[in-house]
Amino acid sequence: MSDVLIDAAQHGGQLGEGYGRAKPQGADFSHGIALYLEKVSVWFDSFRALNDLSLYIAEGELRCIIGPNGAGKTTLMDVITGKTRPTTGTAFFGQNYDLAKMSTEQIAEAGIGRKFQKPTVFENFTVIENLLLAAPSDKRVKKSLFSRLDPEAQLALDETLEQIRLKEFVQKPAGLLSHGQKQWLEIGMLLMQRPKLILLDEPVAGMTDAETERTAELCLELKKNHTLVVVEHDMSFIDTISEKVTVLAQGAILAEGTLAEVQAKEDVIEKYLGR
Amino acid sequence: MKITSVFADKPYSAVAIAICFGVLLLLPWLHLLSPDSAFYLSAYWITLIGKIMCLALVALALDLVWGYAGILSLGHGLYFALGGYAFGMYLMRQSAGEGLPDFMRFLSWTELPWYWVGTEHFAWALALVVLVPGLIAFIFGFFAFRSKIKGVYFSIITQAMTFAAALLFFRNETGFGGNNGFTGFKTILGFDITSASMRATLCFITALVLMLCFIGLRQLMNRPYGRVLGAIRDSENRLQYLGYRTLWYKLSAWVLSAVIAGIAGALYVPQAGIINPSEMNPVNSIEMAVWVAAGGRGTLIGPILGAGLINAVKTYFTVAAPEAWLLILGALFIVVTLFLPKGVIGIFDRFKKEGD
Repeated sequence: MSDVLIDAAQHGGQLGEGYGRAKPQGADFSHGIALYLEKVSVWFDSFRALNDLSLYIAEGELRCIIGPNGAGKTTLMDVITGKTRPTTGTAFFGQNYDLAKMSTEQIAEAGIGRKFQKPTVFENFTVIENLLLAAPSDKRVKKSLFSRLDPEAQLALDETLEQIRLKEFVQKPAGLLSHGQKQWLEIGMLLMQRPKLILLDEPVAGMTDAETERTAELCLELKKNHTLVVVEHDMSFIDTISEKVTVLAQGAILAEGTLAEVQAKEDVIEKYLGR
Repeated sequence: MKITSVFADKPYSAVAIAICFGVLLLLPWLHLLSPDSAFYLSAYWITLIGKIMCLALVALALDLVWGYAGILSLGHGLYFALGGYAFGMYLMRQSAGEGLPDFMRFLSWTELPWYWVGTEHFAWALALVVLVPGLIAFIFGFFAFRSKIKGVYFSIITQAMTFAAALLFFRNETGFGGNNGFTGFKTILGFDITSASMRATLCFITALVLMLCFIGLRQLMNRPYGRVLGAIRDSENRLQYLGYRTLWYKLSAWVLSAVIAGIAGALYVPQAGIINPSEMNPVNSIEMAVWVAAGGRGTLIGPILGAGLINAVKTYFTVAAPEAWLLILGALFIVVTLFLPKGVIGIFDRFKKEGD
């Protein structure tokens, strides 16, 4: 394994942002683990947003992460997507991608998709344009000058529209969608990227009950083919979808287990759920 | 589901646009009619139309980066002037014949500076027109975009760039004629530059280039490339999380825009008969942004219209009421901002909506 790691690390270092880079050969999940975070710390001056955090996500798992505000949930997402570099510790995607050495674009290309807390869709573009922007596997300039939609993307498009229930709104500007629909569209954009690991940051925040229910169904559907990490506050939503829950507090893991298990723990109740 | 049409732009009447370009392509030849003819256009009009079309070409170039990619350049006058100077070198060599251009002899220089070598060749001059603005835009853009300089900071730097270049070109030692610049052109490829047929040809070529650039850019903007540029304007960060290396998109658009501006400058100089560092004055570059805003950003046809209208009005008022022109420009800008946020072209949109 170490050979592969060194190879990937050197590879990542050389990639730069330019043309002519080697085509990534895809994340290696041969050990059954999709994401390794080992003793990751992130310091912002003297403040420790993450503190010696170790987390392993198995391939095909749906992991929920909960925790009070400021526990480091978003920083964790930032580390995984390359927005923030870990001050110490290592972050690997599969056996072969050293996330600490890769740019945001390279990480996206390697197969990690992220939905943000605040829905960020391209508001001036229609639903279908948003999805098509996410679709191409090769996102370089040259390709964008000549490409047309390939049949594979067309298939993915129909399937995705079905899943996110926006089929009748394809030509609607994304800015005119309801809050819930925007969230779904963003999830749809993730799906078009065909990622292996999906990060969802508060997917049901601000949604109605019916929308929340639909999102839970969607998450369970996604679980069949993807590895998911969901950050959420809504306990009933987590109860519907979760197998395993990780509780974060002050940048470290407080508890891990099923929702019922962690809810029963004394320190979790004290620090997060409140008495 | 219609997949092929999703990337199609707002269809401003293609017929109307085709007619406009047809007229522009025909107008230059009216100069060749007998002066008694009712349709005769004098040299004044023909060079005026030619010059305004050059400015419209710059507006088109600026719309590519500002209207689509959301990068506001307040320094496109630099690339315009560089293209103009590159072609101006050829014109100076033409009029100097075997000897040195006049301004060099006045400085008692005895030989050409190295960067003037080869400028007596028409083809090399044309290559310089493309290469110099392109290369400078590439170097500047690469570092600016890589350092993630955005928004107003980027605009200020572009403005500083063009101002610095103006100061450089003002110096006699720079070898570009100092504050007088280049003038006194005589021939192109041996043909008299003031002849009626040359004037008509230059004006015609300008119209042709303008049309080809418009069609080319419109095709480009209807491809995924154009959508990605638009997405950069709306949310560049999001696009990076989708896996796009936005640097190369911005840089390619920036360089293309600079090259088009350079070509516009090269077409402008023989028709205006002069190029000097005042073209690099920041005020000129700001005015270019006004044309684009007034015409309608991100529409390609709008900026052409905006440049045409404002320069037509400017030509009239700088003669009729020179002291009032700046006030009128200011008032125009206020009116556009208040009532026509989408520019002149937005009026057509409004009609279309009411018609639906």
